[in-house]
Amino acid sequence: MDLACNLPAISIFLCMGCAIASPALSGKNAKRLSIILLITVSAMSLAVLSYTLGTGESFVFLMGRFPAPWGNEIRGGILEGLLASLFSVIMLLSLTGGMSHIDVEVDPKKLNLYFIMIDLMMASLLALVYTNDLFTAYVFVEINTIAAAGLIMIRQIGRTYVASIRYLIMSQLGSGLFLLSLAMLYSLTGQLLMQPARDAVECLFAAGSYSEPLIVTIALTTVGLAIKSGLYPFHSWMPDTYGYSTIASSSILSGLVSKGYIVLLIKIYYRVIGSDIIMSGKISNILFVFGLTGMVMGSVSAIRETDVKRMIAFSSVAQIGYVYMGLGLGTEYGVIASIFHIMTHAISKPLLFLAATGLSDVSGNSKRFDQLRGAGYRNPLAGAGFTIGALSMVGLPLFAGFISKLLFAEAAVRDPSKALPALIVLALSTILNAVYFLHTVITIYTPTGELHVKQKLNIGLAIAVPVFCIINIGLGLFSQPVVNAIQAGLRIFD
Amino acid sequence: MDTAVYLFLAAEGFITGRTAPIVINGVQKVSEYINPIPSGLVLTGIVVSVSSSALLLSLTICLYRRYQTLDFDRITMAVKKEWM
Repeated sequence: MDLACNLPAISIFLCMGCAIASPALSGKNAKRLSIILLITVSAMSLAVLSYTLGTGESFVFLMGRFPAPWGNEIRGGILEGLLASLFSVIMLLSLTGGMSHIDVEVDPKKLNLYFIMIDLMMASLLALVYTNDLFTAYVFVEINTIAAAGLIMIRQIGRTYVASIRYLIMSQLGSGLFLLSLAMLYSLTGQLLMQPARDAVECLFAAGSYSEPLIVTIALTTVGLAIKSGLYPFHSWMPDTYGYSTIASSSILSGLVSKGYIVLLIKIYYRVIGSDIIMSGKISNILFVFGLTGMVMGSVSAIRETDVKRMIAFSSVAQIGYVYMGLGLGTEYGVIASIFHIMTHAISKPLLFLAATGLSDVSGNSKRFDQLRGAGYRNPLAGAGFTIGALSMVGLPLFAGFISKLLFAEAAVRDPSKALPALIVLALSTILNAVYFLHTVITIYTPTGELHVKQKLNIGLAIAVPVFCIINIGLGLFSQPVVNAIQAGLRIFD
Repeated sequence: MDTAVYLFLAAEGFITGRTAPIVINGVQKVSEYINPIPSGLVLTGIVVSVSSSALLLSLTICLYRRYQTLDFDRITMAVKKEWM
């Protein structure tokens, strides 16, 4: 077995190990450890990606050397490598960009606790991406939830307490439903590993037995993970959570945490239930409708906001709607578009959050639009970053957002029954996006008040924002290799 | 809610008249024992839900210390006033 096959397991255990070591360290050292860890994990994930791209096949790593159906497995493929690399790099950049705010907003005595949460979050995201075992997935879903709640409540103000209680209650509901679906699936198939469970589900479908319990299982999984990732009617926790937590947490939560659950859902669809069963069933139609509603309602709520961070949070509701709309199209192209949009959103949203904070820092820490007038002149870097993020979200050519909208439109056209509603809502949602994002861009470039403010250079932000912009434009200009990689990854996913 | 799911799992894994798979008196027949996996799942699940309950309780304490009440409506009002 090649060295690269060991890397997924090593990276997960490394994250857990650092999380366990952090309580004994001082805040500063925990921060250093976290940053070194994230760099190492990014390198490892990139190594996995290049290895799987080289072989063109997936590999299975046996935990404890017990073969299936007894042992626990980790599976690495092109898609897993791609998502793990993206997640770890974005985690590192969000942390770098938000570092100065962490130092101010987090109690210095509790600084090392923040980095425990970061390490645990990275471990759980990697595990959700790599795992081949359903119950391991459940355990890491819960670790993810607890780490996310910690990331929110570490900034100790009333708003974040309320937000994290809301988040925890909704998330507990979601994981409860997910656990119930696992219990039912286990009683139907007798398996918890994905591959043997898949064989058993295929036998059940071929025999036509237990069709109702199977449908209930699929529905429970979908609803549980949809609640946790914030699909439209279950989005009530999102604006507060993203709007008031410290900036690194907002970026990580919006860019990565909700995506981890969607990746798990896609994984269960493809590797446990079977993509043909999902696509021929009614589940995809339901996801399609909720996705479309989310695309419109998220944008409408964002237009009404006067606080820029909450506006970006509501825009996340719309973007999650896009992802579910792609899944709901029920074709391979739809899923490819969804995964590409997961990547687009994961690089644009942290950029927007970081840039918005950079802008509000030079406007007396206010996040209200009337105070942000002219902020683009006071902090040119954050202004440029916000503009690029906003244009990518609206979907202008040259930026990553354009490619994902193009992929959605292409996928929609291939399905005659869903093409019309999908295209209309896509157009409508793009207009609504343009209304609130361009309005903000115009506001920050309206020259009023003092235009030149002496300020200390924020090094973290000065590193993170340009790198995010470069990744965004790079993905927009050279999207074909990434799309090909996603397609190849999905082919070997079954 | 998690407790209900655990009860469901435990009920699924239980068969009347059989015991946990610990070999006693040299009986090794499969028909004498139950499947230990559901019980294992329940145990893991309990650990997980205990930790999230602990987190929720500590959050409740934080809220009470700050606002001297646990009435969620009043807390929401106070939070809004604070932010204005």
